[in-house]
Amino acid sequence: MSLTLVSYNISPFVLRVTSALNYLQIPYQQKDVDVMNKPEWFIKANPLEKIPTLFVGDKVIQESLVILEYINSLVPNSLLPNDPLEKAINRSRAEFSNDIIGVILGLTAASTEEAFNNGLIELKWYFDKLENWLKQTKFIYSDELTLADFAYVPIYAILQALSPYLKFNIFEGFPKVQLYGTTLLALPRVGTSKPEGYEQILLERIKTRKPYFLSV
Amino acid sequence: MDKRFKHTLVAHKICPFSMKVLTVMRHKNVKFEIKFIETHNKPEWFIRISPLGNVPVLIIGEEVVLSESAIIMEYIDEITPPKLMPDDPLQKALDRAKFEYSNEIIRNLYSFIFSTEQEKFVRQKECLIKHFKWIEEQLKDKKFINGNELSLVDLSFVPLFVALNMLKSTLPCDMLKDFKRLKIYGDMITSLPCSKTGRVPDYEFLMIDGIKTQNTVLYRSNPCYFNNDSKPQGCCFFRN
Repeated sequence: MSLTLVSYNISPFVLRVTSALNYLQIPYQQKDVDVMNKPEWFIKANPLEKIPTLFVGDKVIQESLVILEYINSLVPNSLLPNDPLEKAINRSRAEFSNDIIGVILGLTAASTEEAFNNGLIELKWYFDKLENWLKQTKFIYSDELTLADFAYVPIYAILQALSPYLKFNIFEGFPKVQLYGTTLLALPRVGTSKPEGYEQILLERIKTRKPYFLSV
Repeated sequence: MDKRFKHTLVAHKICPFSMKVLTVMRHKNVKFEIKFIETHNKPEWFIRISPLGNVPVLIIGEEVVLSESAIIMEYIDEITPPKLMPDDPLQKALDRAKFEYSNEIIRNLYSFIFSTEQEKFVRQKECLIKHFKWIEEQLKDKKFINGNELSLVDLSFVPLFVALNMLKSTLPCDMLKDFKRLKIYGDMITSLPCSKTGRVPDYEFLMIDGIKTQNTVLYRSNPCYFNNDSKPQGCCFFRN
């Protein structure tokens, strides 16, 4: 069944999917669309107009975490535990990263020092939880890579893009969280899943909102 | 079901996502304890396990806490065979998209109901009508959303129709009056036993109370309907 991924260049949620597809070496086509001007064929197939969307033949799958689970079904060695409770825990770990991505994107838009610092406090709360998990296992759920780990890739891609502009180490006090990022982006074909010019395009987009952290 | 684990559902009485999970647990006859919390007065033990204050939350055994209604629903479904979720991965993915779609519409409806600004109220109503049109089309020739069999997707839509029924019984207008298939479908799924036991008896009262106390657009434009005063005939906010 042919796979077509509809994407846009700096979408963190697309990156989750492309990382997994590339790591698992599953062939697919990719169509980038302009988020501000979505094509008619796309809107017709998708009442919620979400990106990423994976077309499987003529069927439409949305939500990056749902797409990840579908992709997982295409490979012989499942990256999800079989036990229902363990599977639910793995899925919860993946969902947890949604909030973190939200907080980080908030930081990139924070227009005042106060808003930025509040965002940092929130981020550190999440990092604290991650650090505790990662003290026990190499990856987010176990010592082996599982599906939930792909959900965390965009966090590190974004932070890597921001780091030359932050005057401090955002991972200060969270060595395991930092190491996890390095491990993830070093996985074969995962770090290179970032589209060409990713950092530049991302920063250009962020600059248009005149965030506090770029003014320091 | 694994008896090692005690299951405790933490929910909020008018939270539609809590209702969704409760409906599934009733349908599957799961043994569990339920604890209701107030959103404006969260107990300490709850803040510890769910610092973001999310409901519903399923506590399993002593330590495991699951949040997100979709994750909880699928877990419950898997530990109580026969499963309602399909085995086919593609069909499963399509169903999960429908869960998210039902979440979106439910959020839309609740936003409409509790809206305090006129502009937002009108916008949310327009969004809802658009969604209703889409589902009406999907229900063509089908008894349930996926065909002739009940699925988790149908249970996922229960809170939408429970809330719409609450509006219909309080105000003289029926938001579904132009959507024949949706009406039939909604009546059918809200009549399921699990749908009745999946909501608290004081749901309508609590919703109406919230609509009034939050000084919503709904209340401000139709105070007579929310105050048990004698109801005028022909007063209708939902003009076409």
